[in-house]
Amino acid sequence: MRDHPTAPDLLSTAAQAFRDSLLPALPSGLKYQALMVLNAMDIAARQATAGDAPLTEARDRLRTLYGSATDDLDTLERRLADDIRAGRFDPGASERAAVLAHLDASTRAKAAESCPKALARDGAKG
Amino acid sequence: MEDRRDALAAWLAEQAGAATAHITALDKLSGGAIQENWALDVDFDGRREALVVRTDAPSGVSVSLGRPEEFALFRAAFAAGVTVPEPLWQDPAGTVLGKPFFVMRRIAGTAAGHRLVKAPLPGLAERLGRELARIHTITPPRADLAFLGTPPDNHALAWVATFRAWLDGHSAAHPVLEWGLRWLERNAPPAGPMVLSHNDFRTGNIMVDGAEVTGILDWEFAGWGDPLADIGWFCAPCWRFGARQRTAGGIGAREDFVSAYEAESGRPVDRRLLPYWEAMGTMRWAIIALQQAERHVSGGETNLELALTAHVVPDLELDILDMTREDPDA
Repeated sequence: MRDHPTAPDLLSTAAQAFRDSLLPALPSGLKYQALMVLNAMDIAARQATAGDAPLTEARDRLRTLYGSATDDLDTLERRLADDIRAGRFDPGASERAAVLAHLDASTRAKAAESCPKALARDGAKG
Repeated sequence: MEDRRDALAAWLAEQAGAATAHITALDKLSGGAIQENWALDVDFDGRREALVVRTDAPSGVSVSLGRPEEFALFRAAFAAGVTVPEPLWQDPAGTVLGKPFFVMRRIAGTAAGHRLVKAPLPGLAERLGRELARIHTITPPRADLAFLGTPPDNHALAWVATFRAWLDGHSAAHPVLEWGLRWLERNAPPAGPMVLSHNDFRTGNIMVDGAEVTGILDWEFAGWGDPLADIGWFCAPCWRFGARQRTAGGIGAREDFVSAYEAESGRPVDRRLLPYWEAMGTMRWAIIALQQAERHVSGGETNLELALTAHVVPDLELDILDMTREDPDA
């Protein structure tokens, strides 16, 4: 139904034009605001490009952890949050490493969309 | 403000014990969604003073500290030798301007953390360590600071409880923050001494004029707390403005900052507890970032800067995971 280019391409292309042509021509008083606009467009473009893949991967990791069939990531994350708070994955727990691996992977996926520079800094450890 | 100019001048003369006061310049300063600041040049019987009137912004959201409380904090800090604009007089009843305000001396300079870390001033870390130590000489109980309430039994555990309570009211679960909070709970140190915590003492809130520190700003989060909370906040990686190799706020070495703090305060700092309080600071910024974003998402305050604040959270979560992967003694 939709003709190409769609959201990911449109956003990246618009951000590129904004960065290359508009940003340098703006008066200095508007630079901060303009950089925020650009940052928002970049984040939206990266989210659109990634699509649902990071969410599906997170859901699958948690389904494996819990042996659960639910499709709802929010439910799984709520359960994980509650279990962490209750101490279920404290040192000594058998699933502790799997939980940490999940948290690492989810955080890297979020950072890849929201703040990829942080990921570059952190890359050596990941 | 313009229509109250004469009333303000008369009030200023009375406060200063001058026969006359002429306001020769009156300009609204930029910034401040909660407070409104006006720069004034006043001629008191021929003696010129550069002053600031600090009052509430028209649409100011209610925050914990009002102007009279802030005035009391400035007075306490100034008396303790902290570099803050000298607070002069206040009108807590708001009779002169129609809202409470206070008057302080005007200080020169700018507060820009990202600029400070580009070319750190020599000795700045030590200077700020001494400033913080002076803030921490203010200890409870204090009748003039009674509005700060009762000090927490254990600052660390009190914050863990506060942050969890806030997350419980948030629409989405935050497993990484829960992970960090569980670590902060399990590894919480015993209660330390209680002092006045500035609670936003960081490189971005230091007013600098040339090579001179002219003021420690932004006192609205101040409260009674553990001295290490401010040290952890100042040194946390997220407040180094990208200069992560400089462990004291991006402007110097953590050890220089802490040693100067110890020398000024006469109180030793347990280095082993600093990673804990840096993790706490990182957690606190993540919570505040989510709170700011929430004002955009569901608080009816459409604002790009607030919206983008949510997107620093994954950066903080990377730090939190690195800091809380293992227990300190593991």
